[in-house]
Amino acid sequence: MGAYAIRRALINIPVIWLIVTLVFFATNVLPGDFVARRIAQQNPAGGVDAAAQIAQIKRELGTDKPVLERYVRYLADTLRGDLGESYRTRDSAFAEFSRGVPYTLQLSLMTLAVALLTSVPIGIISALRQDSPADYGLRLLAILGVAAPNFWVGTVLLLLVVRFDLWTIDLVNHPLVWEHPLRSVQLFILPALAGGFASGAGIMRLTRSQMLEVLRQDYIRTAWSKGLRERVVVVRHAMKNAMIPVVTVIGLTVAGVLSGNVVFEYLFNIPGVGNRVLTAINERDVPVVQAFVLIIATFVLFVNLAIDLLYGWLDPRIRIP
Amino acid sequence: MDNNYWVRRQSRRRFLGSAAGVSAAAVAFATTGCGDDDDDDSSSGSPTAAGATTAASVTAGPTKAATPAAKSGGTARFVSSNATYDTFDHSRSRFSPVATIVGLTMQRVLQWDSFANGTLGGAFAESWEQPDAQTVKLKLRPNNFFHNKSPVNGRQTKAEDIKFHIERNKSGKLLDGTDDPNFYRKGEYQVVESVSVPDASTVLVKLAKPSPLFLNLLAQSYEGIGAPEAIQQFEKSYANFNQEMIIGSGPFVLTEFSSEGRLKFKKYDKSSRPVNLDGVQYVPLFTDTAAQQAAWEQKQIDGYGPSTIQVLEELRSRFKGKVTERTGFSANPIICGSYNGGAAPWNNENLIGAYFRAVDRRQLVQQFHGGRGAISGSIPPSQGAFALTEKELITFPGYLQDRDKDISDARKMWEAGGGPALGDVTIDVPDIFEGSYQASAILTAMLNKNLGTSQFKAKIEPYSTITSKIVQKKYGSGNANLWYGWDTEVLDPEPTAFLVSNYTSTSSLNQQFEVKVPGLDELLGKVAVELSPDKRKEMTKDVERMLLKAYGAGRPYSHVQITNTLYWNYYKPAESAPFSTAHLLANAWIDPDDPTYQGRAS
Repeated sequence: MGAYAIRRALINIPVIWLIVTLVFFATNVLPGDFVARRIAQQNPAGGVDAAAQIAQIKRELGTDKPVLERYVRYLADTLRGDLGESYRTRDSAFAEFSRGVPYTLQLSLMTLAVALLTSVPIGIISALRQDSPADYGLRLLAILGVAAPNFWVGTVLLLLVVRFDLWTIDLVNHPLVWEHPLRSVQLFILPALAGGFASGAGIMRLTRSQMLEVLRQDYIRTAWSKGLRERVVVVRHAMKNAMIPVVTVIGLTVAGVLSGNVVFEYLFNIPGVGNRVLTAINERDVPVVQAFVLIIATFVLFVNLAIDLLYGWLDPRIRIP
Repeated sequence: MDNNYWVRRQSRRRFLGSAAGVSAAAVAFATTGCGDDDDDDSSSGSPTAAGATTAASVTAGPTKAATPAAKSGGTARFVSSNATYDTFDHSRSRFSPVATIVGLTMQRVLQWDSFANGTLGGAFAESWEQPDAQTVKLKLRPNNFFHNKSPVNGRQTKAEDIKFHIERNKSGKLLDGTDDPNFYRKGEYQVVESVSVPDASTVLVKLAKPSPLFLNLLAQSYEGIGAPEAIQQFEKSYANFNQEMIIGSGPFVLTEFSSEGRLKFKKYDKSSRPVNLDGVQYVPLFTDTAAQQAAWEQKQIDGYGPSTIQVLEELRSRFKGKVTERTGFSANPIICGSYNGGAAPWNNENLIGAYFRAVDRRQLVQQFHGGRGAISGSIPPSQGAFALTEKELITFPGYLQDRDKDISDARKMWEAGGGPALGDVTIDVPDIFEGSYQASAILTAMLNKNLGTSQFKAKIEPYSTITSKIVQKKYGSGNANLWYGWDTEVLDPEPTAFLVSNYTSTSSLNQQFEVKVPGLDELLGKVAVELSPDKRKEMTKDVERMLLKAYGAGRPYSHVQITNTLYWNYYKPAESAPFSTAHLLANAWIDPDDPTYQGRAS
């Protein structure tokens, strides 16, 4: 298992290098650089000699150097853990990222909680009550979850709460749960429900189909014939095997939730990582975009590594080279 | 005689200014816009928002309803309109959020007390005199103190502070002697010959030539007076954006700043002017309008400008009697591009005229803004007192109510000018403009239809690329013929300085356009030194007539968007305009006794 883990971890190194390189060159070919864009924003009709100002600010930011020179410097800085400074705020890009982390973390955890707490039990119940009215109802719910765009669900939930004045959603201060638990939950629960409902729908459908498949296996029939209680058959014998592909999907869902957060942070004005990276892209704040993409991509890689290791633990055949 | 700024300047060769200006409604300006520097956008005027066919002349002064006396207390909350900052050195900034900070925290030498009435008043200087056409004598406001932040530590203001400000802007140099091209007002300050401090409370400014606009310059958005010792300490680090660097003597103290747009201001207890609000807060710009609307409906912010007419009408209906609506012009006029008319093919009057007349401004107002806009001549309606009235504007080709005639003439001119032989005619559309209005399809369809051709194509470009092309004179020749989008924001209630700098053929800016209009230089030369505001108003109208006859002379205008902002009735906004108005927030107030105050988020 140790060798397997090391082998899987080492594969990530060239992947990260590829990401770093791709991110660097992709952000450097975006049309309209930061300085020119900012000067042009206030001076669209070319009222000043923008060229001299652009040249001066580029010198200050170091973006006047050839792209390869900047790439080498960027790689060296990244290896030292220096992800650069924001063009906009002159603060470190990592600090920018860190400021968004608590919001994204809370939203992701709440979304995952909603997704898992609803989808897995519902999938199991649906499988156990196959073709019953409950099964039909739950499957309809799952199809709705897959079909309805999550940003639409989020917007509708927001407007419903406001229109019927159900509670105050603190869209201005967006408190975190450790700052003001009630107000925080009142804000975050809406995107968590919308995101969790969408993410959970797929998991629910997969859980149901896997459970149905496992429940038809001979060893399950044997378990029933031994007179084991339903809870033991379902939880101890059926669920463990049914969950192997589900765990993989849950791993992918983490990445999906992170991307989905960009939409929800945008919709609910939450200053998380997704909202910040969107702003940075719009502002052509290259160091921030690079840092955010690098950190998120690395995080997703390691989540997948963890899933692979978990998968190997669940199914020992996978560990054999 | 009314003690009005404009009237004073017109009627007396030697005159004394004071802060107590009152109205003569000599100038009336409406109101707010999406490009306004702050979000307290209220208005005094009421543009005729009757859809696309109406324009320009906004003449209403502030409505003096029977309002209760202002009450003290409360913190007003707005959304940061555009949370981008270039530097905290306001003399080197052109970013309107910086102008908002200047307006709230600093005093300019003089300030606009009322845009509607064109009333200029004292601020850092309590009063001023012009003993002759080339001398301005400023009298310092007594008992005026800077905010208590290091290294200024709340010291009393001095005449030397004004001298330092003027000399720094005139030189355009950093303290180490380096030239910095970002001193944007350097050109305007060249009119100053010398500045001296004859006594502790007086500043004497000698001008190199008579300049009717020097007082306006001292009241402009970015002309806040800071303390020299603060500039000495922070000049090299102003780009690091820290609230401790903002040290003025204005009505509010900046206590918290984050560059994403979260700002907190606290009432300055030693303010030399009355301040009603305890504070002002700006929250980061809402990334989605539904969230912003929700926050406004739940009274977490005090004002909201719906982006679509449907939402506006629904909110009007749902909150009838509970909200006050203010209507105003956007700060940024929309221009049918600019081009260099010094070379073929766009030095051909027939081609220029054909394009100018084929643009259906009323249609664009409808399609881009749902009818919330006003057609614009070369002077936008936000500077209405200096612009042609709508009644006159619609007699000019390109603005005719008889669109069939405009289109028929446009087609003839297109043929006569050799338009069909041009091949593809590319119109660059800025990416952010396209994102707002999907303008490229609308523009090309309109031009192709009206000129009976299929030559017009659109290309989406970043604004930076378009600006670069303008500076390099790439529009007006070859395939990159034209562009269409927002023009630079209007910064001053009076267009004279803009007209002179953009259309005088010898000015550096005019080299981008190079459209020769006979007699224009002479007229601009006269208006630049005319001390009578009333005469200047007539002269700028003459300038506009000449420009319209030349089909915009390289800068054909389209229209100006009209914005509507809804405020809960408990919030009593101060006057604002499409110009920098943040200093007037000292006059705004909150009425806790108004029924709508119930449920306002704490």
